[in-house]
Amino acid sequence: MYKIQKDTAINQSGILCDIHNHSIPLDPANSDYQRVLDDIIEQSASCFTGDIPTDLQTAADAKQFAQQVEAYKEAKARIAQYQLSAGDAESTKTIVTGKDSLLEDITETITIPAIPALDATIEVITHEIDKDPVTSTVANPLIVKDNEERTAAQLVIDNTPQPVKDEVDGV
Amino acid sequence: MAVKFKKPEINIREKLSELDKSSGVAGEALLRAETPQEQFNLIGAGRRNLLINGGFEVSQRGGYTSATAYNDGTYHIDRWEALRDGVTATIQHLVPVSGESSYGVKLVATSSANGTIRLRQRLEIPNQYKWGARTFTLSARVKSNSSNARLMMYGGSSQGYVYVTGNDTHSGSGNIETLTATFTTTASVSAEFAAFVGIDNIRSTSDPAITSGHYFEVYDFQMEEGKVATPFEHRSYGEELALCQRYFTVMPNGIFGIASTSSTFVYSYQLPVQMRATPSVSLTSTNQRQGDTVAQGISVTSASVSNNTYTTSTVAVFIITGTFSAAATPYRMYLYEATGSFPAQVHLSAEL
Repeated sequence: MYKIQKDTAINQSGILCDIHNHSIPLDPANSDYQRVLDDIIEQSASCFTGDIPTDLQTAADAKQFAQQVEAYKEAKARIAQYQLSAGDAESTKTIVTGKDSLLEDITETITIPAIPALDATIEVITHEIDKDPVTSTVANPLIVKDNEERTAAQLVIDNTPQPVKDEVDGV
Repeated sequence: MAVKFKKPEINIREKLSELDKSSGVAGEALLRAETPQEQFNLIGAGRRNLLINGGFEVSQRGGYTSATAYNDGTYHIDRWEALRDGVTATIQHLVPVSGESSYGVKLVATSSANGTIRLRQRLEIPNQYKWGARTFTLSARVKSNSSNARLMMYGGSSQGYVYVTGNDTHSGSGNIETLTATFTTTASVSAEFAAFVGIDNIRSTSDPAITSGHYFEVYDFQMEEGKVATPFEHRSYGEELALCQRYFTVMPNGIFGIASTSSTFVYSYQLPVQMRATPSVSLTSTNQRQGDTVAQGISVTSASVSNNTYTTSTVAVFIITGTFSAAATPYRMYLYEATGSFPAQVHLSAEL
């Protein structure tokens, strides 16, 4: 549990952690202070004796917002990758290769070849001593992993608060 | 007019034979180096070891010369955070005995389960590009009875555990083996850039099976720029201590404080080196004592400490309260006096 230590008469200013019996300064560079913010994010008021001071709550909210922004960006980038089970269609991309005499961009359009979808299943051959090899068909593990990661990323996007999305998407 | 001049004679056979002169493996490596920086690294010039207390000589928090049970994420030997997951374990500071020259650290699992036991040193990141897009090599002498004892690197939150090349994993033979791990960072490096040694799976992808009694010992842990592990760089004790004190220090006895009231002491301690950040301040016991410069000292039970507004990375100002054995005399100077059954020391920590 944390407890605020503040007595302006004697210039006292810190956060007491009664688990480690140490006093944590209100310095964002101090790693114990960052742990206090993490605990406020995770446990809210239950980690604090008394009310959480407004400045600490504001700092914790700002940290959580920054974490959510990063998580949302990562999740969006993951979803933007093509799906292994679907492959990717041929596409074109225009790139700037230089400037002409009128300082206009010289562009070149390159074609990105299509990427075929992976096979949905693969065959696995199991060998056992004194027995014939057994062939079984299982789901392609690359696709399984890809789908799991995409599902996790989508969950992050779905659970991201709207103000965070607005910040990233520039709304 | 004809001018005559003489040139020194050259034995062309002798000169040609010099071309076959053997330069040795190290010489060949030097000749093959592509940049002056690589040559600089190969000859071991400059201050190479980026790890602090890689020789495990400094232990300000205590001796730990016998095996001590530890909790996950705790510090014992300076700069090295002891980690454990799934199993219980002990830590021991290995002090050189006759015939040896190196300090070391030993971690031993005291229960069996899938888990990890590791030491970690987080590196300070003054700016995100300082460590970015560079090749580094970890090296250490490691002894272990586990074939999962290895060196690892966490390249920051964007890179995670990095892929390494080299002889990074111990055979589990129970002998000392020199391990090396070379890796390249991404363009920028974020928080938690850290070197590891311990029993864990490759890139910590899952927890290996640990049996009670599995251990590792580590000596001469080094991280240097380049793809070659050079001999361990020995720094002086004083130099290493000062480097450690940027992250942790213990206030000595005899520092002056003042009684600001009959039940409050205020101490101001000029830190020996500038710390990384404003430190957290803690007491190692709730039994604490002040020596009086005029009469008997004052013992404090249920002692508690709090930071003062004026604490910075260069000076620690803190307040001690609790249950006093006698009323303090306001405005009188007292001397900090950890002693006997009132052993509380003041620890100041600005670890990463």
